[in-house]
Amino acid sequence: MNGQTSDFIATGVLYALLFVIGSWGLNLQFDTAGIINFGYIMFEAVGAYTVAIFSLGKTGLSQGQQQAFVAFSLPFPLPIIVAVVVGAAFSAVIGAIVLRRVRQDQQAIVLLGMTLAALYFVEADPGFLNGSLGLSLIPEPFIGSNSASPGYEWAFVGGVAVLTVVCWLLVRATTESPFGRALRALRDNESGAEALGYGAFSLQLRAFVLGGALAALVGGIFAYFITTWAPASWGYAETFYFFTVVIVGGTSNLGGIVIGAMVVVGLQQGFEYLPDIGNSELGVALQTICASALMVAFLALRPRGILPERRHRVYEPDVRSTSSQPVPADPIRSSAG
Amino acid sequence: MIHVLAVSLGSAVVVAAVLALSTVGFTLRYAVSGVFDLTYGALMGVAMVIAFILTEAGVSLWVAVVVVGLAVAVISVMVEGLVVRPMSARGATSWVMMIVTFAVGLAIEAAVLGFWGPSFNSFTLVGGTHRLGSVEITTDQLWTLLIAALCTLSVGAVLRFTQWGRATRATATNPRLAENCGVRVRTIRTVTWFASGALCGMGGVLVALQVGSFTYSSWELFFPLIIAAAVVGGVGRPGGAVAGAFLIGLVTALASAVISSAYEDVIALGVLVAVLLVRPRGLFVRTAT
Amino acid sequence: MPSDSGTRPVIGGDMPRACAGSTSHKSREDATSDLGCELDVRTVVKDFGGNRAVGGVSFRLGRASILGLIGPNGAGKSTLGNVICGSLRPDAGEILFRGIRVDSMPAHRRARLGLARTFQLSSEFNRLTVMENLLVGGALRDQVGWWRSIVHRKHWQRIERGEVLRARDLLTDFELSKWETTLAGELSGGQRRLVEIARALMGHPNVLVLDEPMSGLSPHMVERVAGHLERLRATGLALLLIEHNVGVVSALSDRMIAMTQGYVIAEGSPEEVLGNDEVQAIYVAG
Repeated sequence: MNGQTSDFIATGVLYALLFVIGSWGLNLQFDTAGIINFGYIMFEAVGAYTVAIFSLGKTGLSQGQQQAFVAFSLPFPLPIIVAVVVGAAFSAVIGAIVLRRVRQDQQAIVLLGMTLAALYFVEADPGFLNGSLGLSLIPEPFIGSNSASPGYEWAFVGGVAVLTVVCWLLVRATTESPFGRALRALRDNESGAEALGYGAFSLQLRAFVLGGALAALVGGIFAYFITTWAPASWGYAETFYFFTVVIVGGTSNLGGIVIGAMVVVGLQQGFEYLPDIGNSELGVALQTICASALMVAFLALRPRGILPERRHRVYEPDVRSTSSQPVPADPIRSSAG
Repeated sequence: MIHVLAVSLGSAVVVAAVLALSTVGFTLRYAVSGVFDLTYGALMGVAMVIAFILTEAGVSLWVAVVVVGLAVAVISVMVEGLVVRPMSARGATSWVMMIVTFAVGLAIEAAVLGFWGPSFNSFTLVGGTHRLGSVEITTDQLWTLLIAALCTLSVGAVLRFTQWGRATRATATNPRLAENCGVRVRTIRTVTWFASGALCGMGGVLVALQVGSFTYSSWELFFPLIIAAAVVGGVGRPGGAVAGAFLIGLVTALASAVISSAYEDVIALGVLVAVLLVRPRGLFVRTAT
Repeated sequence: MPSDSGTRPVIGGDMPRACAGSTSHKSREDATSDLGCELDVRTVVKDFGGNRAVGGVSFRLGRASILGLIGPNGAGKSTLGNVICGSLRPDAGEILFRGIRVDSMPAHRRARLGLARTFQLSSEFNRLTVMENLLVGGALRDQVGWWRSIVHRKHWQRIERGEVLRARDLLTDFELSKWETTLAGELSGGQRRLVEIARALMGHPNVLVLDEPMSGLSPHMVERVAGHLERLRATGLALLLIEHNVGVVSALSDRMIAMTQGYVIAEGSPEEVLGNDEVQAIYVAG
């Protein structure tokens, strides 16, 4: 297998992994908490830009004649850690504003509006994040390597694969827990959950922040990989692809989302390498049309996605415990009438 | 984008008028079908292409406007019948419809891209300039203003004074009740989407005319303004749509004069976000409903 | 006639004297002497635009008792229920739950204090199993912190095991054991109602507000639910039963209140209320 094919496959695998992580994040917001975040890409952008300004430093900026409102030069992996933290904080602020006041379908428009406003703002002010040109020349994560060296792509993929597994464990632990169950209850019947003592806003905000943090993580990794991030990278159509993954793969099913990601990335990569018939943009056009058709077909025919929601585990008492083990004291209502 | 569209106050009014025309079309769809139709913007892109092809073939621009209006009207009816209606029949919730129309809109835009390519084009403009006091306005802008005003007022008149308009308003308020009262809701929807499509198509051409140089994705910059105007005016209310459009159009033109033209779109969207957070029903709606 | 600060019905048999027939508004300091007064509703008013949905309703609800609230459609019963439970805020009046003022508290905080409710449109979680529904209602609601959920897994798993036992007992009581692993959305209307009630009980509530629990149930189911409610009263629960089905309510309740158009027109024992002329006019003539 020659180098180019190998790189092509590596890139495909990497994008698939990033889609998986990002879709898990969107899924946390969307399925478990019922938030339709049409502006998901904005959170990814926050992560990417954070990595950029925390790794470029003043020298990096001047090298490319770029501007940014602030710049630091931190070694890997600090910038990406900062990116996740910043992403979480940003989500907390946005979530606090949007979740408190707005109904579900309006949330979608508000978040879309905010994303566009942010996009236009970045483009309008070149001193902020270098305007429409974006930030480039982001240094690669591992000192001493460069993207030209063979095996770099695969090393990158390896690292991200490990990260994906970590994220999977984290997301799974979150959904298979009282917290996850509370979110599902909230999704099914919000008033019913509130009548049991669950504060909707608090739980939804937490899910929102988790999802936003994952988005920022994905953005940061992406920035490291393609060493650049510009407004063109975060058109609102990008969010659409995440939704396609989640809807095709199956909301509520982490494994299904992996399948959905493979389908969408397969589509993207497949069309990119089509022979150029007619004009050069035909590949992009066909890819969008196919993804779109897929999305609509699934929403119309199989809205739950390829894989349905899995049964969640309930922790059973041991057989012995029914007779001998004391039941833990009920922390509430111990003085109940 | 507003700055690109409006180079002087006269232009600002023209732009607001085009925005009003487009927003009325958009809001009619929501009024009658309850759908926040995100294909609307992509259809404007289609309008631009068809108009360009026609004018390149020698058709007069203003005839092309009418033809394009009809073409987009027909496409809109197809969208309503093939996508919106079946999905609604399945009980799709409003956000599902949003995602579906979003997807279809992207597909439509992709089709335009695949068919036409990414090149930039412009219409060859005719006519000179006129002066009204200290305001300069071109012949094209005058025609644009005329068309926009005529169409918007006709829609208003039809809605207000004709039986058809009453039936449409009844459908917008309560489709089930309207159906029980003998209104043929399905027909109303088809016709309304047709009319809305005509407004969409005409609006698309007029926007392209104002912008000068346009491409398959130029509608992407204008569509958020339509959404902003619709929401500010109260979605589903054509009167509010016009008010919202002028508010958005003039506020941003003012802001650009004061702050900087680069921030116009930010301000327009900022208004959208602010309105949704503070008064989600829109600014021009009485609260007691 | 509208009930205000005049004589208020005293609910429940063996009431401590402090709760019996008092006419003055109590301050919070007197709350301790209101032992057994689980719910104290004082001249609650709720308006919608220009329409007065609830006009100055007052009552008290004590331990181990059932208060039946009847009235025709639009009488304001459900609105009153929503105001008491926190889905709506009152425009005037106070609501005291075990002596604590709750009228400005959000619904979930009231639930945490021990005020449980069911909904007219049964609010079970239909994509969760019956067991999961019950678990959501129980002690695990204190384990929803993210850090706890991820890091202190052993802790909440242990609690969950205990909760499963409790839930199974409840399911046995409600004769739902067979459907433990069925998704709640797949059950019949009556069963879902029972799941909702069982779920509400997992949190050891002091007061249970039931909004039309019998609606849409078969006569057999109505009997079963009524039997369960009697059992619950015997365990000390205070129940506010908002119901259309006058026959069932009068058989179950210790005291009753009849409302129409937002106002209380009769209160007292079931016999007194049903014997009232205005109540008769509504239910017999209509």
